[in-house]
Amino acid sequence: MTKRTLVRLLINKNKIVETRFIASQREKTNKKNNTMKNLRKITLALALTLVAIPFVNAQKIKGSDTVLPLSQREAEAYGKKGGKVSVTGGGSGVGIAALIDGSTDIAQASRKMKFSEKGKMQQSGRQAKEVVIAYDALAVVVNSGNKVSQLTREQLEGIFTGKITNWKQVGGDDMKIVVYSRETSSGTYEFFKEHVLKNKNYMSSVLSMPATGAIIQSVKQTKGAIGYVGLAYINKEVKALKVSFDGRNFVAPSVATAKNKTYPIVRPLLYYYEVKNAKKVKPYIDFVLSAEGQSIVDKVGYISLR
Amino acid sequence: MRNTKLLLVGALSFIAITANAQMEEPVKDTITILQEGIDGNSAKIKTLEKFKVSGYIQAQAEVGQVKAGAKTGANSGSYNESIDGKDAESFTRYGIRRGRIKFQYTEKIAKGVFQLDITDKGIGIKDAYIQIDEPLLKVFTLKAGIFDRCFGDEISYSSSLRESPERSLIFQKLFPDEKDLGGQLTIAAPKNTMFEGLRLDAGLFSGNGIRTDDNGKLDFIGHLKYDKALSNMAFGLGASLYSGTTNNADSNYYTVKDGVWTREAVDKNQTNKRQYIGFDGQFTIETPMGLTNIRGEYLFGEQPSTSGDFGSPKANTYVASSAFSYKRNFSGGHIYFLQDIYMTPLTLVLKYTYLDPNTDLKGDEIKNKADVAMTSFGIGGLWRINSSLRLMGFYEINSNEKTTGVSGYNEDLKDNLFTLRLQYKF
Repeated sequence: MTKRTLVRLLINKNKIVETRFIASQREKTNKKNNTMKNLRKITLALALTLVAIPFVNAQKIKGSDTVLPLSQREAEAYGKKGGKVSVTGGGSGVGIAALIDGSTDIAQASRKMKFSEKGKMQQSGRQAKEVVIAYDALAVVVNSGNKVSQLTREQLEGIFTGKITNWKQVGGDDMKIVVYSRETSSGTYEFFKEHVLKNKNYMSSVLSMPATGAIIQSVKQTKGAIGYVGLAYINKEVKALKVSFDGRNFVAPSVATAKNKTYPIVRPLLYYYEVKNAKKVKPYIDFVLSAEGQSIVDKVGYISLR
Repeated sequence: MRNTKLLLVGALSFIAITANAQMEEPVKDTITILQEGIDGNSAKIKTLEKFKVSGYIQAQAEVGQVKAGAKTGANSGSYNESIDGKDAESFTRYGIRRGRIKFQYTEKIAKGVFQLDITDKGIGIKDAYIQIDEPLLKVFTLKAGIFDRCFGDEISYSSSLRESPERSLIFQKLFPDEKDLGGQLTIAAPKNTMFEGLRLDAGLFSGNGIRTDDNGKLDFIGHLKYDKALSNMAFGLGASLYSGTTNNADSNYYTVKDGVWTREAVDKNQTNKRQYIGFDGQFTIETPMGLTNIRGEYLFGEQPSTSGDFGSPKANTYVASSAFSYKRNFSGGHIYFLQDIYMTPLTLVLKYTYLDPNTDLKGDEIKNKADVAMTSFGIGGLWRINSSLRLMGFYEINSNEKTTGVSGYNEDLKDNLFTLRLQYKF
């Protein structure tokens, strides 16, 4: 081996060592990056766990979207007193199904439990207790440009079952009636059918909306529209009709007319819980029924029990 | 050497570029990574949701008087003098009455179902069928394979829900195993129409239970039902028809005339009429005491049967030694009364059931054990411990028609039976 070759080899060796060093440093940096990524994941997981911990032993409420805003406000106020409650919607039917399979402590509902649901509850070895926490008036709303301002129950039945199809048949303009309803899983749908339509079926072409907000939006945008919503959802963008069940006295929906029982479309808002769970849920339900809890009912726009 | 150097430099450059690329690779947002994970899992869960496994196990102890027929244990659940003691007044049997596991896979409009019965006696098939649900009107359903016969109410009422240990005497005899091989169409009136609650099940079945068909002839079974649920009560009314035939492997056919069995020469392997008519009703009401349920069924008809047994075919009907050559006009039925005990998971159960396998013969006219009428009054309790676990205690006081024509039947047989059953359902 010549001297020149030896020098070259030494230089190359140094380059290799240097390159290995750089690669090693980069590997370290990558590892550090990965470690950082993992650390972030762990931190996030820990944070999520920490957020979730208070709800591990929290009471779970599930069900009616109508009752949802009320339960959320009640849970928030109850939380300030040290209580732990988590609230989710999904519809009355969903909440009751969850109570039957034991995946919720309280089912919130805007309709009574069906007979078939009671049977399922019995088969699963559970007994449900019902508590009325507030009342809600259902308002019949039309587009603000509609000149009709009042309807009888019979007229409402005719409109929602498809026998009355034009506004001129009830004193309005010559305009096709566009009927909006809630989805069949909704407690509001069931209550309106039972109470106003006297269990007759909705017309087959009824437009089913997934939420109350969607009905308000559709009625606002459609001239010939009619729908029904909870009292708390009424706003200036739609017109709430006066309703008569006796054909003589037409009453506008309001907290006052619902409380003095002159407005005829009023329904209870309910909590259902398992009898065995009474001890666990009682403090929260007592809070909802208390003066403080009922004042929240008023604030949300529903009708308090007091 | 030059080549080696070039290779080395190339390799090092590649390592450096790769390392650099790794360093510069944007770190994926953690939420995105989690979202991707969730999306992947959701797709897997959707696939898994198509496949369902369910079932139940019934472990039980039975204590019977010496003439009782237990449903578990060896020797067909009968008292055995050499095992149970010569002068014993009762005997005990333990066993798994039912061990059901059901597999179901649903893909779009069709599903395939298998159900097995796994007990200490072995493994048996209970269901194997295809079901197609018409997707547009959601009114029609088609079933083909082995499944429940669509007659009356008690057959389709699952044993995991039933409040007494066994189905009524008449159903045990007329529809052994409850299942049959065939095809069935169901027409259920759509919801939110004036016909809601109305349903017709009608099908053609082989008539041999869960056994291979032996003659290609099919029996018709139909059940028309109306159910209605109100806010605190529900009721249902139904009518059923079984219209079919059973092969007679004998060259004689026996009928009862003026209280006596009479023989008539016939062609071998002629098919004889097999016809049942049934009515069923159910009523449930909610009271402050809990749910009250009353339900009952009444059946009557004509049954071609063997000399020693009123029951329907469970095997090949072309065996001359066990020919279905005896025509029996029969009637039978049952009634349940169930009462929940106020705000508890307990239910009181009362049940009355009767079977007169031959309505043309009474008392001492009866010379054959298979013609003796039987009644059973049962009292029991249910404890639904939780959604999976259930405990049942049930005592049956069994009585029989008395006749001097059959040995031992001049008095009531000592055949009362107590069943204690623990059930786990999943």
